[in-house]
Amino acid sequence: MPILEQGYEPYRGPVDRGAARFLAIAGAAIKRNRHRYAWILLLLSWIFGSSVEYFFVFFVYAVPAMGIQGGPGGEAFFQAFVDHPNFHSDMMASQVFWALAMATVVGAGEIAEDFRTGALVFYLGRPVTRLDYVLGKSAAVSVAVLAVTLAPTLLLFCAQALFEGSWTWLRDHARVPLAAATMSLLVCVFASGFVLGISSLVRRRRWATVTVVAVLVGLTVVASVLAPARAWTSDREQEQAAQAVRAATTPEERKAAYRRLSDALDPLGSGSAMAEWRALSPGSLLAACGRDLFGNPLPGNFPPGRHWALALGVPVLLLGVLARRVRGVEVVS
Amino acid sequence: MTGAATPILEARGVSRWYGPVIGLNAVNLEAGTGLTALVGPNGAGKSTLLRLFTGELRPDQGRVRVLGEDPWNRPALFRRVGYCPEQDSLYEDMDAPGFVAYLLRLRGFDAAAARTRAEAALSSAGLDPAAWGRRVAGYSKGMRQRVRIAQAIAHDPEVLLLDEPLTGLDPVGRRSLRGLFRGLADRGASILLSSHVLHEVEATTDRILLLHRARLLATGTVSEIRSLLDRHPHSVEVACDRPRELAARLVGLPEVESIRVPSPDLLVVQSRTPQALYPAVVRAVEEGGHRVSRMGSPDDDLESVFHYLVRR
Repeated sequence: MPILEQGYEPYRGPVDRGAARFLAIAGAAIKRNRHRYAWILLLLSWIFGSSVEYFFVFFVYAVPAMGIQGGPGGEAFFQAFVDHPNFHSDMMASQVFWALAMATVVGAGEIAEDFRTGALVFYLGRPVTRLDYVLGKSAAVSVAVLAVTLAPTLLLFCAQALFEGSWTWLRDHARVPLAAATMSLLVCVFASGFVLGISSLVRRRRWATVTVVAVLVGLTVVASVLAPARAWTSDREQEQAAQAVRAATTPEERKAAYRRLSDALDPLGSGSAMAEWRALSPGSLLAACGRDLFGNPLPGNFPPGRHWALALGVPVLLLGVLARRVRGVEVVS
Repeated sequence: MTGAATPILEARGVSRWYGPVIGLNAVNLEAGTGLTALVGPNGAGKSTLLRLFTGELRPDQGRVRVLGEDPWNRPALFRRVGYCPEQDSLYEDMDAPGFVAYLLRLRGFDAAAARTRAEAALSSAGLDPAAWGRRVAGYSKGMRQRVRIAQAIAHDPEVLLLDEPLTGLDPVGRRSLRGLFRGLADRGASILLSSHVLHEVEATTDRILLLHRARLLATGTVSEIRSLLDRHPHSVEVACDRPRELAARLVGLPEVESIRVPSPDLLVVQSRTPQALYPAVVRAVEEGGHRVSRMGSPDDDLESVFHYLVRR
């Protein structure tokens, strides 16, 4: 046995033992995605789609403020929607589609590609726990989700508050920011768990994306076929609501009629005998959770409680699968 | 093979199956400070053993220890361990310093320290700084290998596990990295390096662990192992003129086990006492006035030892 020099000095200096590891994982995942064409295209689509959606808020507030008269009934139509109690929760629900799309584009390949390329060994051979890994990847997905859920809702709320300019309005809507934050968090958990869990079961980004989209679309189609939304009210009731709009003569009457019409066409409702299947659609179940969080009622026979079980149970189950899959190479090989 | 009171790396009765296929079969070994080579053909179980040491796999039987601790599900232990995997598993869209710095951040280094260390490690691994700004996707196989080695050494680990670290490198690169590993080992680092290229291992270290068909075949230095192979006679090749005449002079000597003349200018003598054979051959050459162009033993290298062992 030779006598060795023993001059080698292993590093024993300070290292950050806190959140740095999962933040580093999240940061790297976001950086990897920022140049992807799919992500840029989706971002532009979202900006365009949301601009159209938020335009009528501008129409309601800014047009009268500028002294421009809307078309006959136009103001009342939009004002009715803005004043509707479901306004904020439905606006957030409309962003769930974008949130799931963002999560799919950002997250579908994150775990699958680590498995395919073998990059998982770089994590397993480091002082990185499974929790760090899962949290880091989830955080990357969550940043994209929050960008399309929480950010526009808070922006909208602030714009409304400025236009309204009254403490009464602020007091009446004090619940909105907190509910929006909670709803956004729920969408983050659901989208991360759903997308990353499926990603951990597939070995390529492309196939993971296809699988996630197929599952989301499949569930939505099944829910729509078994419990069609437009069956919530009868054709006769819907026609009556539409007739009331046409018959309204004053702006107040017109606003009330529009509200009645929007209730009749509530996308969460279904008059089907299998209405409980409505909760199978990811968009619907998250929208239903949003209604609860914003303190708004659910329509008719929407199954109570089931949407919460699915919204929390599915991601927890899939995150569990993910944590199990990244436990060691022996599990995944 | 023990280099310290507590072995740096230790496996006791370790077996590991992949379904019906056995990856490692009741392996017992220890490795201490310095450079130890894990040698064996493809499929011998080298990568399986390294994956057990890195906690990627859990043994089905037996126990594995790294620095005295079980590596399975022990992330904190890996602050002290560096690992260069065999797979080509880099993030293609990152540049080399960014990739190594990212992996250092996973070890808890702050961004500035990680960047500094990453660049130092890439320099040590011999990656040309001109290539640092390019994405890894555009790197050659050898450059990618240097990045993998850099990420393993960047945090100055106590234990370095290198799975086929010289694959894909040109001869100059191989020599410089062998020098790097030897330098680290000479200064007191503990390195376990796997390879199936025997001459490469022989040029790097003489401390070897021989694996074959999932079993540990031998441990020690090449000469120690060779000296234990009493059952196998030692070959001495003599390239000379008139080899049959020389054979006639040698055949009666007690040191000679057998003689072959495989070609008109080559004689192969086998003996169980090679130390006594060499002087006897020299005497016979002088007496017969033979012209000898070369004399030596092909059995002294690692490849011969390995072939002897696996034929048993």
